[in-house]
Amino acid sequence: MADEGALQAAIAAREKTVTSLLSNPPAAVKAALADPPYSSTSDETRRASAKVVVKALGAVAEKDIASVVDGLSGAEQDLLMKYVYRGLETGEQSTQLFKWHASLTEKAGMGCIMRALSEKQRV
Amino acid sequence: MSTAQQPYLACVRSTLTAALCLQNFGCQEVERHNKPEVETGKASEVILNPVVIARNENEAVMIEPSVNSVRVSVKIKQSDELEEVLVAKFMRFLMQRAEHFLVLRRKPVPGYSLSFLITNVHTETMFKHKVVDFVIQFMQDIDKEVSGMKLGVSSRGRVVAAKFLEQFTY
Repeated sequence: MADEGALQAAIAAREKTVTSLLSNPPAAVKAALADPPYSSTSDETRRASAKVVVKALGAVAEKDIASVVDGLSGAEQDLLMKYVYRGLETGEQSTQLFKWHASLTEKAGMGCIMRALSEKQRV
Repeated sequence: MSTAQQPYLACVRSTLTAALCLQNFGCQEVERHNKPEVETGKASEVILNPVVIARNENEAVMIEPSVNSVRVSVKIKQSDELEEVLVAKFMRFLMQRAEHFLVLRRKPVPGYSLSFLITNVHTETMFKHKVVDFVIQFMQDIDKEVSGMKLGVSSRGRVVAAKFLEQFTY
């Protein structure tokens, strides 16, 4: 069982990397998607992790969303879809997240949504 | 009004299309029985991850998929007390006639205004894209209906008050 403290420290470190990379949106998104807290048992840790990703996504301009999604690998796109659903739970920044969801569905297809629904490794 | 809702409805539509891949799955505990697994909630291996798509804190859709059934719960926007009462009464009216809707659930999931229960039998007998269209259309029309009812309440109140107060004038 992974230590919550270690996971939270990793998320805080990830947040710092993302904040420093905000001027380079594609790199910020990739950095935010690194090291997902799959083994976490605390809801708070997962929400903190999702917040980092939503922050990175918010830095990308609307016209660049498609190109950023293209630059991600298949596994990263699946992970991003899981994070988008996490972000949509609260209802904050929903307009931004809907754009990302639409772009991801177009590029990665229904399979991406299916994997977000069925994989036991939840982000 | 509806153009702002389009991305939200598109997201719900694609998620619902993916979630509605259902197949027959007999009950694992009782032989010869067939139950909607999302409702029994006992076996974790046949239940998929629930997803909440919230537009803001008042409007949300929760989709709980499983191997043979999907539960879609809708939280309808209620901005004041009058709308809350109207929505509650309207939903009660619809839920009492749930057999006519086929896919409606008689009780909403706690925290939501209305719930649909779509099983593999429904996807086998009806077109899947039509079922999705129905849910999306429902979500679109509900807001219009509720605001129409609200206007109706205030105009009826005005007419009744005028008639009543007429008797006090010369």
